[in-house]
This record gives sequence, C-alpha cells and structure tokens, in this order.
Amino acid sequence: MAQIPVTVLTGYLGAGKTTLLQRILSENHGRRFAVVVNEFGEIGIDSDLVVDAEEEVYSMNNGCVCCSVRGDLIRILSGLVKRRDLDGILLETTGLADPSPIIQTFFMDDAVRDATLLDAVVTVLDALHFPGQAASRSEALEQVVYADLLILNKADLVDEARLAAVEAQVRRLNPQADIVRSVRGDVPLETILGRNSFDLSRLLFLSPALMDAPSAGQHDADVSSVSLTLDQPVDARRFQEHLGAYLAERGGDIYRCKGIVHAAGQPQRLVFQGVHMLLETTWGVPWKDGEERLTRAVFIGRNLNADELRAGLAACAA
Amino acid sequence: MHLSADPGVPGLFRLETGAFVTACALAADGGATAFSLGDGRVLLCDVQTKTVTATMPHQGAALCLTALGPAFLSGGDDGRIVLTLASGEGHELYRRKGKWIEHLAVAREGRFAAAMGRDILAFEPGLSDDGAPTTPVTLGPLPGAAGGLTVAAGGRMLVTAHTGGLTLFDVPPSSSAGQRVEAPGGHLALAASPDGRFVAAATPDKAVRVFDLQEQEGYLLEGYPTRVECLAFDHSGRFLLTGGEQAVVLWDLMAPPEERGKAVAFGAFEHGFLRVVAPHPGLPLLAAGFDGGVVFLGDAARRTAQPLFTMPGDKVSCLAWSPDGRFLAGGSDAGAVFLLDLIALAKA
Repeated sequence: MAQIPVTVLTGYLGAGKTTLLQRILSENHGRRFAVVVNEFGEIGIDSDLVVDAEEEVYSMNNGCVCCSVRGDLIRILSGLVKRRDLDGILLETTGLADPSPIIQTFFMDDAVRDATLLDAVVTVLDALHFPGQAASRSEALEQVVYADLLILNKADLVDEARLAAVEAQVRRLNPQADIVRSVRGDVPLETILGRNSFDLSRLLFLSPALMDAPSAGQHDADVSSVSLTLDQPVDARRFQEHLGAYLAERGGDIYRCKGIVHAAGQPQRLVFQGVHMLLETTWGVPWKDGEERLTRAVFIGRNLNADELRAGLAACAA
Repeated sequence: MHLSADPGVPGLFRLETGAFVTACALAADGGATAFSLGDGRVLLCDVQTKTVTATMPHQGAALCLTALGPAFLSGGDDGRIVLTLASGEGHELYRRKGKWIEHLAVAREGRFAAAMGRDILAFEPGLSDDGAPTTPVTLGPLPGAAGGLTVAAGGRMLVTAHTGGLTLFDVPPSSSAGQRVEAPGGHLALAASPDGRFVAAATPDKAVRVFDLQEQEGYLLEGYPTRVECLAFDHSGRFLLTGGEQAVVLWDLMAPPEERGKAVAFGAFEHGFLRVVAPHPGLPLLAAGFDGGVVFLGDAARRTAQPLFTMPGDKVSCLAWSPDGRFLAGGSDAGAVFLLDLIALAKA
C-alpha cells in the first residue's frame, strides 16, 4: 500500500499553528486529511477526522539515552492507515512539545515507517515574539532546529529590518530549512505539503542557504549549526564509521544532521541524515557528468565544536 | 455477495472486499463469521451458505470486532460501539465523538468491555427494558492509552496494557481504579494465558514483557528484529507464540528460569515477518499470517508450520478460529477475506 504522508506542524504557543491548520483544511484542494492534535477541544477545527493524542513519550531500551518515541503516535498512525480514504495526516504538536521524539518515531518504528512517510517538520514562528521566546525558552529553539520549513508568521506586525534580523537569527540556528514569510498563515499549500524532506533518495543538494551560512553558527543558548564542505573525495567506509562513532558519542547534543558525500570511486552520492544517535545512510542519486563533486554536510546541535567536526571529515579523505 | 470456493485449496472460500480488513470473528453458535473493515463496514457471512450481508455500523474505520454470543460487537474511530445481529440488524450501544474504540473484550455472562483511549468502558449484558442500551461503567483513567485489552481466568479478569504496565480489573469491576502492575515503558499488543497466570505485552522496542501474576515477577523476552505485533497463548497456557520474526516464535514460560530466555522459532518465512498468530482453541494447531498475505498452518507441539495459501495484500491483518475449531477466518490489509473449513481440508 502507498505510504501516507505525515506533516508535523509545530511552533511556540500563539505563533499561529491553528490558523495555518485551518487554512490548510479549508482550502479547496479536494484532498482528505486526518488531523492529530494534542490539545483537543481548544482548537476550533470542525472535522470528523480530528484525533486526540495524549503525548506518551518513552525512552527506548536500546542503550541510546536520547532515543525516545511517541507511543501515542505508533498507535494512532497504525489506526489511521486502516482507513484508505486519507491523502495525508497533519500532526499538530503542543506549543511546548519537543519534536525529536516524533521524528525518532518515524526512524525507529518499522510499522510506522512502512505505512507512513514523514513528509516534513513545519515550524510556525511569531515574527514579533520569536526573539524574546528564543531567549527564554529552549522549546522555541528546538522547534526551529528540527524544522524543514520555517514559516515566519505575523510578518505584517514587524518592519522589514526586524523581519530580516529574525530571519538571520533562525538561519543561524538552522541553515538547511526553507524560510517563508506569512500573514495569518497565507502560505501556498504546495509549499507546505509534498516536501519529502526525509527522503534521502531524492536528495540532490542541500539548501542553497546552507552554503551561504557562516561556517560556524553564532550561539543562541549554546545551540548552533556547523556547515562543512570538503572538495576531496571521501573514503565511504571510513566516513560511515566516523559518523557512526561521532553520533554514538555526541548524539545527545546533535539535533539533526544531513549531508551529501562525494565517495571516492562511486558514481552515486552517499547521503545521510541523523536525529540524535539515529543515523540513516544510503546511496543516492548518481552524480551528473561534469557536475562539481563536493561533500557537504550540516550539523545542528548544542555545544558543537566546528574544528573537531571539520577535522573529523578531513580525516576521512580518500 | 458470497465467498467463492478456491479451486486450489479444498475447504477454502474467498472474497475481495476492497478495504483494509481490521478484524474477524466467528459467532459462538457457529452460524456466522464477521469481518470488520477500514471503511466502516462489517460483513456478515453465513458459514453454511457463504452468503455475505454487508452492514455499515461505522462512519470511518471499524477498528475492532468480537463475537458476543450469536452476534458481533464492533468499535470504530467514530467513537461508536455497535452490536450487529446475525440478521444484519444493528444497535448502537455507545457513542463518543472524537474518541476511538480500539479494543473489545468479552467476559462471562454477556459482559464485555471496550478500550477508549485511557478509559475502559465496562458493559453489563443486554438492553434495558425500553430497548435502549445500558450505560457502561467507566474504569480508569489509565496512565496511558490502552494498547491492548483482553480477558482471562474464565472471563473473571479484565487485563489492559498501557504505558507504565498493566491494570487488572475483576468482572464485574469492584473498583474503577483496578489493580496496577507496574513496569517501565510502553506496552502495545497484549495476550493473557487462559488461566490468568501469565500476561505478555509487546513493547515498542522490539521485546515482549512477561508478567507472571502468580509468582509476582516480570521479565523481558528479547532478540526480535522488529516490533512484535502479535502475541497469543496456546490452549494449555504454557507456551507463548509471538510475531516480530520471520517465523513463529515460541517461548516456554514454565521452563526453569535459566532456560526461560530461549526461544524456539519454526515455520520460517524468507520473505517477511509474522503479523498475526492464532492458536487453535482445542488442538496444538496454529494459524500464522505473514507479510505478503501468506497464511501458514502449523503444529505447535511438533514445532512445524507450512504455507497453505496466499491472499492479495502486503500482509495478513487478522485471523480467528471458530470456538469449535472447525473454521478459520482471516483477512489482509488489501481487502481479501477467507473462510477455511478444516474438515473439508482434512478430508481432501
């Protein structure tokens, strides 16, 4: 059976998640969505397909202290896939939710992985209040670092200079996400849905913004991003061992990582993504003739040491 | 509509329903078998004539189904519990918008229970004098949503698994809080031995936790390559059969503690995992449903199982025996259903 795409909608309290959700549902797109919410009753969504999920987070007994999954999602997603009238599932988190157990559920649970497809983590930000929230609440930062799409909402409430400053701030935290501005969630549906952000096989290049970002991000409460580029080919086996060992040791601090690797002697890109200690690597799309073969990677996490990361990658050169 | 005889396997009858088959059950009197579907239908099939009557008790998916005497109970993601008689006539027993009825378990004397998130609804038998359904007693709330619900000890004990362990209730329930058996982490699929001594629950991290309620101890059975989706005790209550492997996995729970963690795997299947296991109600036989829609029949005593036939679909989604053990029913995620007459198969 075809996998049902799941879009995770996150954002701090009052950022405009519900407005965006209502907009997606009310648009005349002819698609049928199930909506999974954590705060049933508080959201004014009138649909028979609203499912009330009570967060049940538990850690996995696999020796990985940072691996936790959402048991409620395993249950609810396996239930939803039994009806075959759904075009997608929208999962709204609470304003204070940590998105990582949600993402890890899609990495870890075979049944969830078989039946559904994590399409993207979409984070809605309040352009006016985000700088203040980021300074005081770690949840607000975490929701940014896990995102594939950042929607800078309430863009009409701040002037261009402040908007640009907020954009620069979130770009430093997360160089790989796309950023769009919006007013009352007016983002085209095709920007939000069908992103395939976690589909490694389609990964051709990292977000252009990534390469423009400063190589070591500036610090927001110890959260930063590090972008790496290497123009020498890499020994694939050594690289995979290095990355596995690095994440096993430092994964607790790594929110997300993603990269495309030029593996020596291989016609295909070696691609990887990780969430904490969970790592997925695969052979991706072949390089084209004449295409510049570069290794590029981004790490987002706490207390990152850019020199250490860069040296680790350089040591994998073939 | 009716189930058609399969030319290849004697005693096998099939039908394509076009919807995910979420559960199946056979009535206690042997008259009908029912299949609940992901589009809200419940199909009733006359076991003798193989004629099928379609009913539509749910708006959404019918998530669970069980036999209640000659009739069937179903629960859905529309928050409804419906009693469907063999005639096809339906009675709505409960409705709660925005909630899911995910599990049903029938206890003794017509009492039954339903799991609705963190609540367990306990129903007394029958309808009230004016024909209206009786109002259930709400048990709980549990620490997390019920991952499974079953009865044991001759229908005198109700068992539910959830985050943080098990909760046991007597039937009829003497307290709404029940008796808690604590164990860390999440618990999903659930089975209890017929005598109520053992309860086994699948955990999200590829293990099975066994609770020995008599000795008041618990332990983990590990080594699975994937999360266990099905668990069942054989009729003796000694052997636990599970999925989570490309074979049927059997554990002897009466083995001495030093040998307890040793599993026997049989009925190996190269092309996928075991999704449903259904031990025969009276004999050491078992039915096993794998990925690819492949149904195995086996012998738990001899530790053997072989493929018998294949249904269209990515996996077998349900299997159930008739109480007398003559008929096996089942279905797949792609909508195939079947009814197998064991006597016709054995004669051929």
